[in-house]
Amino acid sequence: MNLLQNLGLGFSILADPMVILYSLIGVVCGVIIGALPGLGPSVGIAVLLPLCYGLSPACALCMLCGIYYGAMYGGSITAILINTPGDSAAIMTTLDGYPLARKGQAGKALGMACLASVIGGTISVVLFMTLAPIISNFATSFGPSEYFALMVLGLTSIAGMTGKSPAKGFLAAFLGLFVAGIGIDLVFGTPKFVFGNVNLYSGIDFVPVAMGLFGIAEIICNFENNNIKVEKDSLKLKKLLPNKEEWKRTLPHIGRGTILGFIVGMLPGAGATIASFLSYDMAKRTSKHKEEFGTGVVEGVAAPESANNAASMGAMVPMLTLGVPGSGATAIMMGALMMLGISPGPSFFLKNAEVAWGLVASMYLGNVILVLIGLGALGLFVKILNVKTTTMNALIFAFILMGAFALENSMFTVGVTLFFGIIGYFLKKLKVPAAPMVLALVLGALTETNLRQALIIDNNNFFKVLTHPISAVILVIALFLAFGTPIKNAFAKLRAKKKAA
Amino acid sequence: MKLKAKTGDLILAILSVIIGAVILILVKVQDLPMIKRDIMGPGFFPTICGIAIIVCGVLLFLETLTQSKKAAADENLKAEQEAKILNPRELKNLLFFLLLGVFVLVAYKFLGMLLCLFISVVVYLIFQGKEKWWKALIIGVGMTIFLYLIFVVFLKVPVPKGPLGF
Repeated sequence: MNLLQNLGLGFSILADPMVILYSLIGVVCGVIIGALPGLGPSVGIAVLLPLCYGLSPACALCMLCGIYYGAMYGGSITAILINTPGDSAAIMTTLDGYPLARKGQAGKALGMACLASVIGGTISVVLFMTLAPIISNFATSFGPSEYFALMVLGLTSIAGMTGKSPAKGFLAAFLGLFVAGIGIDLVFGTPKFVFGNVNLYSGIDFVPVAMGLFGIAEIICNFENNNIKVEKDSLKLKKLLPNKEEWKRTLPHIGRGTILGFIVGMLPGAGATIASFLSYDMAKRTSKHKEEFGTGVVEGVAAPESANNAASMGAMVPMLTLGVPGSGATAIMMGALMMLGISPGPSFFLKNAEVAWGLVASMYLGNVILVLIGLGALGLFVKILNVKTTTMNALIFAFILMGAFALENSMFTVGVTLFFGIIGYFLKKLKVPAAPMVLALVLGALTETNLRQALIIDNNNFFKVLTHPISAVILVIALFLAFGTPIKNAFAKLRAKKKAA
Repeated sequence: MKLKAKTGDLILAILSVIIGAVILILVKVQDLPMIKRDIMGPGFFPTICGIAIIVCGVLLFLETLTQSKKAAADENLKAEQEAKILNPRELKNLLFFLLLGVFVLVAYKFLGMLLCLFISVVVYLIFQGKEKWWKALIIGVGMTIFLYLIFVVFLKVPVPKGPLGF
């Protein structure tokens, strides 16, 4: 009953037409940005963050969420039509989506991608709605030491973002932590690394850094034009909707993909890409038509698409309930919330009940909008995607610079954005992931503050801070996440050596 | 620029060690103690970051060297390490964006932010996008109007104005 009351409170917020408008803007912008090759949800949220400036928290949150799941779906449009995934989470969609398009069934693949995304999104909203308040309630008893442990857990999720080289991932994270420490020391008031520059006294905000690392760095490398050619006839509504037989074949995969995606999304560092890989693999293993996978079957599109949208929703659970973002995109979202004066964490659902439940309601709304524009305006999106990439780059560049200025009405932030854009380009070329840097930048100050508070409470006894029962459990999980895979690999090598001997 | 992935990684490793060392030196120079009045001082986190960055640099250096040895027997790894990481077209694009960014940072005081962005978009479209001048002008004007409506009219951002009054 309480749940229904809360949900009613959330839906009452949707009575405001502005909230609906911003949700619509978010989904449309998300689909367009997500569809542009190389530009994923992180870039979308980072580039459009300045638009949240001055908005009510409900409007801003609805727009950001719209961008997030709009981009998750947008990535599949180019994956299906030109075999180029808009972001890494859509890689698996190319395997069956593109062959379907080549068979002349592009509309069917796009329709299935949209519907699977929406079904995945809707089921996971229900899961989110049920789980989030429970976790929040449990976490309300957390003190600074538990929070510190949670921040460490968030930082160890970097292990999942490191790609082939953990050293590069952790290097990016520590650089981010260092940047987070620039400015006035909160306890002693000592200026740290400001070199007399007044602008640095308040520290470096994460938004211009994210806009530079994700936005500017991406447009520097982006050249290829899309040249999408689709027969108008195949985008008619009738052709987009799956038939009875196809529904029968895909629904179990969508259901499994959604639950798997949601769980994987909640794990720090795992994210939508891994969820879509696992879901495709599971669909292939459990399907009666295993051999047809890769040749253009709708299940091959439905499984990864439902999983990646569910994962994006799952990733919101630790971010909103514990204040621990598990991915680059949720780290940027968490920063955005903090910019709006909302602190995600255990008290989020208590202190900001209206915003929190409004967010849940906006997720439902976002899914409805996604169906409407995903099926109704596909032709328009295809036209937008055919705009020359250099033209798009110039427009994004101007938008980023203007957005960077709007953050603090200062040209200093424009300079910071450009600086991190150049750094981001070289990091990208050297295959150093940018997400850990942003994650560390968002969590850095919180980690330091909570550790300091915990130490003061526990009479500077570091051991005591680490051995509070809940903190100890969280820290053990963090250790496992950070070093679990290398230890497993080392054991596997040892075993292999023993066998060889 | 024929920078190979392997060389790039080695340069990054050395740079990381230098950056970490500079951070540690700055902690000393700026007198940021790790412990102050028996509690965690302002230098605690920067010191840890400096040391960790050096460690990451050393690990990356060792990792690259180990992979070089392995690459002798693994064709894929060899191709990965020998791959050229810098593309001349991208570098030209980087230089363009850098110059246009610096132009905006310097000229906004005299021309105004919106005019600077308009010029940047048009210049980029003509020289990098190979668009016809009239097409670039139309896109530039459209973009400027869009930015004006969103940021000045809607979000009420006090954008620096130029001689033309916007």
